[in-house]
Amino acid sequence: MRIFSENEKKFIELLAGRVVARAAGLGAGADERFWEIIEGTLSGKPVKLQKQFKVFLIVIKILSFLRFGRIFERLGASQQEVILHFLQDGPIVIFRKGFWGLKALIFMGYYGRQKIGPEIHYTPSKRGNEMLKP
Amino acid sequence: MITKDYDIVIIGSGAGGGTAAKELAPLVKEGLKIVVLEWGPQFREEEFTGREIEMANRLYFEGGGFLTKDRSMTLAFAKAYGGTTVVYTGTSLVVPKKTVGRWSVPGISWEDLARRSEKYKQENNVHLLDEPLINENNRLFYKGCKELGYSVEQFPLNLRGCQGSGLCNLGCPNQAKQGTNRVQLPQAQKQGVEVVTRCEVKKIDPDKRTIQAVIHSGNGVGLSSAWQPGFYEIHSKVVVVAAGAVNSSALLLRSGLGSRLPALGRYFTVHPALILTAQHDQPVANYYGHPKSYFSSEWAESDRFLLETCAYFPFTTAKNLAGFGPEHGRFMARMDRLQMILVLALDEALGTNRVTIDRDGSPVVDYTITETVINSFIVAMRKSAEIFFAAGAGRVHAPACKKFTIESEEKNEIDRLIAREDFKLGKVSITGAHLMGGCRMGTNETDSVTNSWGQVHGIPWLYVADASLFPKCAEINPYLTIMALADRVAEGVKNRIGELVGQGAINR
Ligand SMILES: Cc1cc2nc3c(=O)[nH]c(=O)nc-3n(C[C@H](O)[C@H](O)[C@H](O)COP(=O)(O)OP(=O)(O)OC[C@H]3O[C@@H](n4cnc5c(N)ncnc54)[C@H](O)[C@@H]3O)c2cc1C
Ligand code: SF4
Repeated sequence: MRIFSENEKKFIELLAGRVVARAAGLGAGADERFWEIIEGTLSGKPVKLQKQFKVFLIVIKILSFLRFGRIFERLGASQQEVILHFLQDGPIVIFRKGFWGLKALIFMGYYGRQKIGPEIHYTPSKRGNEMLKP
Repeated sequence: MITKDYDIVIIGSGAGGGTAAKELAPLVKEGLKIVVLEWGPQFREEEFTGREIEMANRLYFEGGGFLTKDRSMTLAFAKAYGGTTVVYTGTSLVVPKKTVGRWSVPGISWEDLARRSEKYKQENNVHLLDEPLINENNRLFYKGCKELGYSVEQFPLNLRGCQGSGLCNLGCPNQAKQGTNRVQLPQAQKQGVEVVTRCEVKKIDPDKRTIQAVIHSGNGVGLSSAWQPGFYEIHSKVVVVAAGAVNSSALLLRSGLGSRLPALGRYFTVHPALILTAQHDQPVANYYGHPKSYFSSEWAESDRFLLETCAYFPFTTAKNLAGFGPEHGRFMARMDRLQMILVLALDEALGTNRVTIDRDGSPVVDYTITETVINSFIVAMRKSAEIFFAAGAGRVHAPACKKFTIESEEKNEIDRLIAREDFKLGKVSITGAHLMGGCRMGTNETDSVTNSWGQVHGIPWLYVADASLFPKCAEINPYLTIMALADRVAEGVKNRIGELVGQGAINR
């Protein structure tokens, strides 16, 4: 079920901190469930898709270099955001789709953890009708 | 390879397959052997945990995120005893008369489908929720529509003992939704129909009338299959394919029927959907109570979309907000303040939108989001924003917008802020949960796959009985119409049963 190297994980954690501001505190290996969800999901996908995902991570690094002359990790927060906004809103459809996939995976890892519920005021109940306002 | 013999094999146990099984079940008394082959497992009641990722991976193909070929949209369809009825919301609408008119399939009349739909409304305990059980999210939609003078109707729902846990799309933990897993399959089994789960049908051999299937071993979750894991060859006199709109076409294509049936897999429609969100300044708590009470078909004719109430779980909500970073986080931090609306575009049936198969025989959905659909989305986002604000929302998020949120002070600028140039494929999350077509009904092979009784053209013993029969989209939530169509197919089989299985097989 291990899909990412330690370096790739570190990079995804950095991206996660930009995509979900609060995820900045995740830290390497700080939340195993985050990685269990991400790697568990990707491992069920075709190998081709896993590879494309890794290639997309490299694209982010290359783009950073082309735009700012430094790799993504060395950029300041605002420059990192410029890159991510370009991926999301720019004219290249394949980048937009790749970024959507990256975001979806990070959101899944972050918001898919059960323990996040109370923090985001999401507290469903099996007997929800009892909680309805009169 | 283990061999088996049956008179009737039904492939798939969802809205279509479950209905066909129950309707054909009385034939067991007359001596016929009937089996339902279902890829997914039957889950135990306690296995419906309501945990988003766990249940999505358990219940849905590709965890609910089956990507179309160009990756513009994800499709949701389930793999379980009961098929997608295990995860549906239970809204139970009769297809509009106009829609059936637009299908224009000789032999299919609205009166016939409405009569059959009524039967399943009774069977599935369809009723309107009592007023005190309607939650704030739904009330706000109603209020917004009424204030603006838009039509709004209450959804009839097929519930028995609903506790309002709001987890319908993750499988009901209270077993309240009256899907085929609760109603039709148990009834069929009581009458002697066998249901074999974990059984993936690989191919039908049209010359030998045999089916090749694999029984998968379990992973500890769900009941084990009635058959041992392994490879099977099943002989059957009649085969009813009800594997859902993606998998029925894929199965028939794998079975080599593509060259005989040029329309196979084509005219695939999905009601492409957007999930829209607004934030109120006080709690809405859309996760308490049943999620879906109201809809509006105000724009069904003019702009080809429906608006429905909805409520989703944290990951699904996060994924459907177009954006990231602090502004996204601020929306997500107050899940209790979110109001949600689901947009369903009523997409055209195009020959180019279709199910194909890859080299391994797995389905590939080649679907293009058209300009017409995008235009429907733009109007729908503008109208929903108006409704959100009329309901008192503080800010609205539209996935195609110049800003992440439109504040209430900006409500007069909605049309400027949500414009065509802001709609970017890839950025906007588009989903499809109403998968239809691919084996459409009609009169001949050139533009259809079956006749109006679901019998595949040129193959008298092969039937289709699921959502793939739709000639064009259903224009409403489709399950009740799928049941009505499957009911017709079962009647067609029963009417020809002597001819199909041989008189000798009956009461043997
Ligand atoms: C989240 C969600 C909410 C929905 N809510 C509503 C609603 O409120 N109201 C409404 O009207 N509709 C709703 N729908 C749509 C509705 O549930 C479907 O349209 C309907 O269930 C489709 O019926 P079907 O028989 O065509 O396929 P399904 O119900 O999908 O059944 C097909 C079955 O075939 C099995 N299968 C597939 N391939 C094979 C194979 N090769 N071998 C063996 N078995 C196979 C699958 O595992 C599955 O169990 C919803 C759908 C979703 C995803
Ligand atoms: S809201 Fe009702 S039907 Fe839906 S999951 Fe909860 S109890 Fe079941």
